[in-house]
Amino acid sequence: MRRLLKKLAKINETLCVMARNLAGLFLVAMIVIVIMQIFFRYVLNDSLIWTEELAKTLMVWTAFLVAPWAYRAGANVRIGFLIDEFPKKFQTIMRLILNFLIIWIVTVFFYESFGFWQRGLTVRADSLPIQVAWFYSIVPIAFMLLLLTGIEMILRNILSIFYPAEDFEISQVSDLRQFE
Amino acid sequence: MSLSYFWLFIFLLAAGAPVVFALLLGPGLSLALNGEPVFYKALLSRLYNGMDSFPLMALPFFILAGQIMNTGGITKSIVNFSQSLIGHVRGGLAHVNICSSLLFAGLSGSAVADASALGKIFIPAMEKAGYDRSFSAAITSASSVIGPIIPPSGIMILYAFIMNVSVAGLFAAGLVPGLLVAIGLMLVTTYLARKREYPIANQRATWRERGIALRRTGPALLTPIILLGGIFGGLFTPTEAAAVAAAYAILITIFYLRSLKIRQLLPVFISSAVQSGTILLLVGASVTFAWIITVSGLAAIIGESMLEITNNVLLLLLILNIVLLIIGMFLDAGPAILVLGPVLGPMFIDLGIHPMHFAVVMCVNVTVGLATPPMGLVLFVSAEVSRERVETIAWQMIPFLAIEILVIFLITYFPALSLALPRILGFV
Repeated sequence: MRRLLKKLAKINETLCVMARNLAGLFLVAMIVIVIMQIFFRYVLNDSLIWTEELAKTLMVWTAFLVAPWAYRAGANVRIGFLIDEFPKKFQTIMRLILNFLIIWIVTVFFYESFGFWQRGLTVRADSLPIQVAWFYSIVPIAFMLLLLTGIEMILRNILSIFYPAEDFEISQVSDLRQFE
Repeated sequence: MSLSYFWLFIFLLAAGAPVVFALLLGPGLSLALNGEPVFYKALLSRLYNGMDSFPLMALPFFILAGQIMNTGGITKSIVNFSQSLIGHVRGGLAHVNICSSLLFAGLSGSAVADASALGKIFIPAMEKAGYDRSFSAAITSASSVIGPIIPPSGIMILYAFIMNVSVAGLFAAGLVPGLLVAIGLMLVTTYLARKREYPIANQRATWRERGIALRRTGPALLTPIILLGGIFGGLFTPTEAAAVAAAYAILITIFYLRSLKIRQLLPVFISSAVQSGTILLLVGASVTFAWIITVSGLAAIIGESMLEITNNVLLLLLILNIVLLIIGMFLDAGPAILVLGPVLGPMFIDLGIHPMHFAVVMCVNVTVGLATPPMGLVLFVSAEVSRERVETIAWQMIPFLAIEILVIFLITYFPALSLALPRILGFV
């Protein structure tokens, strides 16, 4: 089990960080596209039609690309003050249950994402000469990664329950929580 | 459709599930228990389409702009400028803190960013000058609340998106309430400074010194003018203005202040993408949740039960504010807006409250909630920076929170305070 966790953790770490960094580049691309949109409208007097749709799609991709990393690093907003009062063991068991529920919903969405993608094949994008299915292709990828991450989290929880003396949780503390 | 999803959601939140998953799991589990899995298809497409919005894009851009200004030392130049303006009065540094928050609010739309950026500068400086550390942390927390009230504002973008009101109009509506909070805090500080004999930080700056400070910070202070001028003047959409602000922040930190090198930008982009991405997914999940709220008729049920208590609008607004303040103690502003907007909004708008007025009351209220214990992100940040206990800071915050709650009630019962400016500008 430890070996499995180690392998899975390595795969997830690599993929999640790659996806996250790609999201950073997409953010830059979004800015460039929107600035171009303004520039063409005011300076060249020629409004571009494809900028909004492309920028929007990049933004949705950013959200999906960041999700696995955020789940893994615990960077999602949660209410901790109640559960943190309970004993450590209880907290770990609760986390295990929650992670099981999370991979259940992730699996449901992973399964649905294929139908979602297929329906996208019949719809053309508003301004770009492709089907929206290509925009949607991030959805199965993201849920696949979330599923892998979820399995890793569950392995960590189980090991923590059996070997309470050791620390199996991901130690990286995220300083990226500030957003409000 | 049963309301089980709502109780599941509350239970999952209390159990410590990430809010984004609780939002998806509540309806998801409830659909599974009721044997209605055909709706999963709709849940997924709402999750995707919920994020697929151009106005929403202002949020990642403002987050990026704020982060660049923080890492690029713009914050520091703003503090120096505020210092030269009012550093010489009694309790000077506390006033400088509020003034910096106010100026910073025009650049950033985030209270947490304000608290961490200003806290790192002010808490050590104020302690050195003879203030209590807990008081310094308290004034930093209290004043950073101005950030999302004065435009630009992340919380307002979220509200405008989920409740379908104009972002530009809401920005205009926040200006006066934000100034009121700043004035209120300064009055409290003046009183406390006299009573507790807080130190006078330094001599009155000469106009020449002020000029030097202004030259350094001037380009940054142009940001709100470009932003608001562009949005209110109809030149840009708020999203375009946000992109301009982010690009402008990059340009001044790299070429004018020269405080940031190009290769230092990459981590900033990534961390902004992470922050934006997590909120965007939360938005998508909230759209899914809001849809279930509509289908299940929860808003109507809550509306009816509140109307059973009283049908006096003024009293209902009082209840609303108290409920929001209590919820704000436990829930972050973003999720609070996204979940409660669709639940509470329709009823008050039916009762004749102007949608924009309701929006401002709700946004200001949950923003103040960021600084209330036990769950207040802003409070946590200043506790972390100051290494004081949250309880100690919370104790010192009481007078400041009191004045902020007073402002909430002022804008609740005097709609003109928030609506006059958007009316003049033609947004409502």
